[in-house]
Amino acid sequence: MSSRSEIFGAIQALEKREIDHPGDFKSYKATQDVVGDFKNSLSIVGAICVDAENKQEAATRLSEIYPDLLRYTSHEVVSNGLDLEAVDVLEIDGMFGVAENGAIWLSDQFLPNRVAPFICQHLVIYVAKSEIVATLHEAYERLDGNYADFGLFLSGPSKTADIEQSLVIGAHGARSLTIILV
Amino acid sequence: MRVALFVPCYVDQFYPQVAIASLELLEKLGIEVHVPSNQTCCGQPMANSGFASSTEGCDTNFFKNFEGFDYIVGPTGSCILHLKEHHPSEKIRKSVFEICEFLVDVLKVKSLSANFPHKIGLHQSCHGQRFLRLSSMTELNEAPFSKLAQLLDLVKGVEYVYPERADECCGFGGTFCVTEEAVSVRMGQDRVESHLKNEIEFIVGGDTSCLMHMEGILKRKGSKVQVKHIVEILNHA
Amino acid sequence: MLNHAEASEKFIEDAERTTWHDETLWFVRSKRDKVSKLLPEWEALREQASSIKDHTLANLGQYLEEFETKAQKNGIIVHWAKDAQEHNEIVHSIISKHGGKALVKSKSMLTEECHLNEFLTKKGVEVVDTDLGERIVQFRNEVPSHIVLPAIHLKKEDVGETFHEFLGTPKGNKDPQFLTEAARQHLRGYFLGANVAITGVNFAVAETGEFVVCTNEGNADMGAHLAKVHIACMGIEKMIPKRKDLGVFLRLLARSATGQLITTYSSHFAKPREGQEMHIVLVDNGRTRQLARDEFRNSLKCIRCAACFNTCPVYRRSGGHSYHQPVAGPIGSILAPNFDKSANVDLPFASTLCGSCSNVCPVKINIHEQLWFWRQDLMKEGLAPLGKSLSMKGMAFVFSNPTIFRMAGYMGRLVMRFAPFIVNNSFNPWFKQREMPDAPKESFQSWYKNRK
Repeated sequence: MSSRSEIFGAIQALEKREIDHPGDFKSYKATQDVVGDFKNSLSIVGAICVDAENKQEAATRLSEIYPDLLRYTSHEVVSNGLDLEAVDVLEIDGMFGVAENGAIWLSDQFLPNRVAPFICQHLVIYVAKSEIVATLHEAYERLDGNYADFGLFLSGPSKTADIEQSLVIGAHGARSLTIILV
Repeated sequence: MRVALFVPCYVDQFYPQVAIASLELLEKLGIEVHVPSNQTCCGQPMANSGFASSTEGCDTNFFKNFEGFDYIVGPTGSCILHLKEHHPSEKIRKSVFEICEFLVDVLKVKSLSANFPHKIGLHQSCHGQRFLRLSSMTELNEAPFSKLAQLLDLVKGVEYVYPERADECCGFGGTFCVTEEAVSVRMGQDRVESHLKNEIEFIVGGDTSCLMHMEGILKRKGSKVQVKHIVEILNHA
Repeated sequence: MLNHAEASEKFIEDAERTTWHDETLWFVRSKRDKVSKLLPEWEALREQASSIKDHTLANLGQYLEEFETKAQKNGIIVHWAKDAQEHNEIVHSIISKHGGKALVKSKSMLTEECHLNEFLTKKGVEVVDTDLGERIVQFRNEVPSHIVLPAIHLKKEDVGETFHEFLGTPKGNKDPQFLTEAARQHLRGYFLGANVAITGVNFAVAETGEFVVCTNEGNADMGAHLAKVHIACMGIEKMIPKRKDLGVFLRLLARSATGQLITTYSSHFAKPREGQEMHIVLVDNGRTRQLARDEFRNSLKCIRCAACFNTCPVYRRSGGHSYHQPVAGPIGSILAPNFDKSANVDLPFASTLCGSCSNVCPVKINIHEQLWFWRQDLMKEGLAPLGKSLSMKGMAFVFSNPTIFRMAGYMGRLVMRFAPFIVNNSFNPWFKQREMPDAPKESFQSWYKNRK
């Protein structure tokens, strides 16, 4: 007998228990200020947040934040066939943000490739202010029916506290994260 | 209302003053208290050691002594919890009350004639707190409450303070105190130290076993701070 | 092997380090308290998570089947392993097919449980743990002492020395920032070169056939997205029914674990990338046995957040290694006897039953009750040392007989009053570091008799 049928056999041999799924969870708090909450969460998770009226303003602010580094967009990475290991600052688009935890949904529809947001040294994500939801429940509502081949919630720069619980930013992934709110 | 006082075995033998205070306090509140003379133990020491199967004699003896009462009141949260959870008789399980719980929920005591002009550290014993729900716990997102504090608020002169980590276990844990001696003592020492930081005169709680453990540690380090069961404060003239 | 009490005694000998360990983990618990109290729906979320898991376990067969079908449709290769040995062999066979000599692995408690590293090393495969804490303990030839903070038993001086030895960092440098950077550089080479990456799984979604992996460092993603082959290993209890359920679990997981709002990366893997091979190994290894036990079934609800570790006053003062199991702490103590009763008979007793664990658990596992049930189960199996069974029988006899109880109590107090050396000696573990209570002249019952 295969292990698969052994496992299913063991489960089927158990007495049937009727326990219903509790249904979808509704968050208590309907926040008034999702953008304000989102910014607050970004500061907690160690991300830099930039309010920008337009692309021009964003570019100016980015050259202040990353003065000596070359920045590439997702499109440039793909069309120039860049080696991602060599990319200092990568600029990508996020689909939407989550106010309660500063997370941004990224999916491989919008990424040059899957490893890009992890392997670059610094990451910049553009998110529209109109695209912030309050909690993860609303986030999954929004993703309903949108099944990316790969997607993630990304919240803050890569970090670790594995040495004596001292927080160090830049473990394996991006050393900094800048969110441009447009 | 037929009320019986349950005096746990080690209280009977080592802390008679706790049982005396319980008795006197209930009598002051106008309760006629019966003390069954053949009572021994609730069975918890065996059950928590994995020998619940050996508590039958104990359970039977408890039943014989207490079956005729509406309320069985005892001054230790842990023993009461054991009876509430594990005694085979439903009648017994439903009639047992920890004394603070009884004073607040059943008698609804609103005033006491007690006076205790001292600063005390309030120790929340785990079983009373987390399972008898004598007070709120820091683990949960819930509104704070404490039946012990509610009663102490009726005592003149007493000032009570909580240690840092208000509801950390003292490390007694029944037979744990000898089978895991090193951890048990270390937990007790830490608990005692955080109480002492508050410059208190007494450590006060609702469970005599925790107090016995901390008393052993206080005495070994030569501290003048004493332990007292909360009923000794509530009964103090 | 030392039992929990013996190993703890050794741990506590270093009083200063014990204080540090206790305070550091208490700080993590405090962070958890703080963020959990910012959510008015916290307790409702716990209830929800618990109900979803109860429902899932009651319908596990159906959800596993659904997951398998969807995952296969997504192009993932699904494997089933009934035990640790089979799991290890499956993983090894995938590696050998691809001619891998080295692989990168992110945190997976399941692979710890199966002792995968040991197995692969013996087969000549170099396993590189990429989580910083896991890499540190791997260098030191130790095992993780905490499921979320694997190197929490070590001080930065220890890590500095280890990195000096293995990575050539300057002797005496113990700066966490510097040491983390050294590990980043060291591991990046492995990420870029590895053919095969192994990750764990936090949640597997039946509805979509996808699985979610959560990390803060980004090491799981670095491995999985660079390697030609991604192997995800999971216990069959990691299943959840729907994608929307993830909202509940991801809100609870990081807040409970470290007091973070969410982990930095919560990655949803549905399909392999172009040209990549993606495998999932679903492992039983005793889980269906636990599923059949009413008292212990819901230990399978665990999402491995380690909140019960951080709150446990015993764990904080005894260290993870004293539990001699890949999963330590209160949850480990109720999981371990399922694997081997006699080897883990000490663990359900490594607790005061204070109940803090059950009340921080985000999926509301009644951990303290299960500890109690395991005590009964293990003693019934006759796993008590002889002295203990005898003393329990003696106690039961005395407490069943009021006359004998009174006599014994009287004699006991008499001894303590007039011959205290009989109890105040090194054979009495109470007396080692504590004074005995004063023996009063008379018991309450004898006082009460005279009062009338």
